[in-house]
Amino acid sequence: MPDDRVELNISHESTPEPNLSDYIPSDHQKHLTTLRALRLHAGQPDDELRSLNEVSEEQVKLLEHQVEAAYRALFEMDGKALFADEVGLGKTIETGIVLKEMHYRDTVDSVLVLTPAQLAKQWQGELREKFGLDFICNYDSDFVDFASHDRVISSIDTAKSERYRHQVVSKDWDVLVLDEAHYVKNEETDRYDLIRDLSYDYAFFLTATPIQNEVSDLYNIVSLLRPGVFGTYEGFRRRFVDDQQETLDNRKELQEKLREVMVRNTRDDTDIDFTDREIETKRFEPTQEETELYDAVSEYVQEEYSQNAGQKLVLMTLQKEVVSSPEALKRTAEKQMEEGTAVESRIRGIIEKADAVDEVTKLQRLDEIVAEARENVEKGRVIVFTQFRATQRAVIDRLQEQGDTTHEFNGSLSSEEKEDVVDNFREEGGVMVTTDSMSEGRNLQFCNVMVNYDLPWNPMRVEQRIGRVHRIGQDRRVYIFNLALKDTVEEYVLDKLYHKIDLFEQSVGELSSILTRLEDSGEGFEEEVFELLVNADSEVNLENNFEEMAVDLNEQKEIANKVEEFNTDVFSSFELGGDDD
Amino acid sequence: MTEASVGVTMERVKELTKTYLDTIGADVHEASEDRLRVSLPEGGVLSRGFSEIVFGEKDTNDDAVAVGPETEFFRRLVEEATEEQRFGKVDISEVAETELPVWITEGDVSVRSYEFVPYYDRTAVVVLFSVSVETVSEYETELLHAVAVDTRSNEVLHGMEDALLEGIEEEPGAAEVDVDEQRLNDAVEAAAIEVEQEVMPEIEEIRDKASKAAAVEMKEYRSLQEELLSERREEAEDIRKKIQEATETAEKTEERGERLAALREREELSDKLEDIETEIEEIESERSEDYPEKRREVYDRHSVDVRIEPASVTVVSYEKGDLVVETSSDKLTFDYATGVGVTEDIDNIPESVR
Repeated sequence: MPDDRVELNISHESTPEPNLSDYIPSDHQKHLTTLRALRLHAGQPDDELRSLNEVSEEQVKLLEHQVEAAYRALFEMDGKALFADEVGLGKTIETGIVLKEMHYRDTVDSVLVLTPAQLAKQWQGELREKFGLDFICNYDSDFVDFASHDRVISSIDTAKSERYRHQVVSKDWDVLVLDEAHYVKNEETDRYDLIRDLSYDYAFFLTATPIQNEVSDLYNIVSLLRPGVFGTYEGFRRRFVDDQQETLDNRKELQEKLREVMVRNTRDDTDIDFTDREIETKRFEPTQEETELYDAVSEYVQEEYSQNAGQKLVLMTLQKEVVSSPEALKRTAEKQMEEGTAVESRIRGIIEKADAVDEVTKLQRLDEIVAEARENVEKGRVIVFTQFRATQRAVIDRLQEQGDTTHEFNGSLSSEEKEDVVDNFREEGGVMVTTDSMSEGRNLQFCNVMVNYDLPWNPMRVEQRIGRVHRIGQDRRVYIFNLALKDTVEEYVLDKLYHKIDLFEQSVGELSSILTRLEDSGEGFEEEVFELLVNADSEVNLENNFEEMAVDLNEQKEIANKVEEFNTDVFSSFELGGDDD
Repeated sequence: MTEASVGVTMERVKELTKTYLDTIGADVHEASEDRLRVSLPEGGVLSRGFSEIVFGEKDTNDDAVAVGPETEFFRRLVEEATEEQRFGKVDISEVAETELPVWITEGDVSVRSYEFVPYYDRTAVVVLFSVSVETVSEYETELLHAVAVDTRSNEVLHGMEDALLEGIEEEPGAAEVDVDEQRLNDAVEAAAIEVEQEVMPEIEEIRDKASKAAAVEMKEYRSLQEELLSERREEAEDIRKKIQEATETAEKTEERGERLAALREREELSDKLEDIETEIEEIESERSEDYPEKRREVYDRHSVDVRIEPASVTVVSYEKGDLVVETSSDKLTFDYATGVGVTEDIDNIPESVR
């Protein structure tokens, strides 16, 4: 019989190195104070979250249910927990608190965060901005591989890919975080195999909907985390699932078992009030010059793509830029000319058309919004999002010409500079013009007016933009202005897609459950929009294609809503949140 | 060796706050028992945004910073103060009182007077060790233990650490001693060995709990496998019955198509049975050895990691000499050291005074 005690590993650290020659007598009082402080520091209870004070309130306002969830996960669940709060209550924050505490106490070295591809960068941004935790993401240019980095955020599909799987499973991770964990519920999949084969000490899984299709899904997800807690699948069904498999039996016993491994807070438990959101979509008639430019670019893109699909990325960019600003378009077009990668005469024609645009319609409309905000909003704060640097510059130039206070935020700034820009915006007010590099993690709840100067074709980006101003902690009504030119791709994306799925109305966090479903079927959203656009042979056809895409999206949304409702219903009588005391 | 942590009371909060502000060069004026007016020097985390401190609760309109055991301000202050100066030199002879040993004070001998006569100056190190014990079921337990070691002999000096910690409040002076760096490092090393031995009972206690948590997980796993085994056996029995039925059908029937179908079904069932029997064999084989792979995985995950780190090193100057005790009938002399007490081997002490 082997020894039934766990291993004991003792290490001696050598710091601090006493250096006699550095000692000066005036340090004496300081040393006595340090001794006193060390004794008091050690007198703090071990089971408290010591790093909470290190979290900046300006970046994230921690709520009681989040702190309680993190506490239970860390101290009461043997290091394996399923965060299953309803959408929008901050499961990422709960995980962030746990990771922050572990980092603060220096108890873990290697951390692997696995997420759906769409959310990887957002996780990276949130952990950095809100908790000061730096992770490398598999989409970063300096990502080498899983063996070379200790703190990694990766899409689960990259981690399970043939190229990396061996590395990922052969490393001993201190912590594993699995977001949208319901996507590994099926034990027949590669994803399930990957998680099962990983080696880790602590594991934190996240999902708002542990049950996707049937209550037995709960079995797989919990068993992956804690094998044996429910016995066999058949045993689980016999004990806890009724014949129709619609509801759960033996609820008291099940609740006790679930409490060992799962935390679930509901909106009703938390008393969180989300403020109203007012959306105003403004469609403007483009000028004659803008229409001519748009038509010329669209025609060029369509023809070029039919001849050379390898140019997809640059053509897609041109198509997006033409509705953003003539400046953005010109920058890419001129680069194409310099590189000799395009038909020179046609590109030259496009540049000439861009030069011919004297008055930019969107800029005029933006002026009106900014003027109104100046009158009615605290410090006239408005945040303007655009996808392109050149557009950002053009917008700032225009606002400055008019004497507006502006703040420029983009990915070229260092972390410190970014902090300063946001601080100045808070203090001075005025207009912050930002690219989507702002979207990841940073909170700007002190501002309640945002403008989508152009619209990303990926709705996740739009949600991330909204999430900067409209999250827990925003105490005022939020105003969102969408600017779009009529009869352009923007209008299709807005009308046919975003409004159909109520993108601007839904609460932050909801979209990921829709989109991760789409990702599951392997579709890239932006590319799909582009394909629809360039492959349509008539306007009617184009409209129908967008309509179909909207129907698909809506179906996914309905499924996601039903799944959410089902979970709410199934867990309705369970007490899985924090303790009442 | 001694457990060095102390509870965070309001009294201690006040004391450390005042001392620390004073240490960093702040001008501190006590406006009342619970209120300090503070003028801070430039720089430092605490130098921004306050000029008054109130201990305990404050009124809504009060601009002062409220400070108490659980306030952010105090936690930050403690964090900062622990980093201030982790190495120091203290002369303990000023604050360590000469004490009679317990076997005299609690014995029958009547003491008329006693006096410590120092002969030699000695140095020791008192090291505060931070001991972090981490395991998944409890997360982290942190201990702070103090150990004193003579720098010349590397002998552990029991009681010296208490004398230093208790003496801090009396503000002992700085020691004017130099210790060879190698000697100092050797002494710290000796202290580390001592602390490891001394904290072992506490660590073993945590290890026991971790082992119990691992055992529970293994028990769950064993029970899962038992359940699985019993399900598989039932399944195998069902299939055997079906094979028997298929065999009977094949033997009885005269219709060729039906017979072929029955034989095909029997073949499929036999394949299935073989798979299940293989699975049963695998589980049984694993079970006979108590699931070694799973066991390793579970016990590894619950292993206890201990990290022992010197948090502070204090060079202490002390004196060695004689303790002269005058009783009603006698004058006795014992080897004695400040902070440690009588160091004489107990066997050398006459039974009459023990």
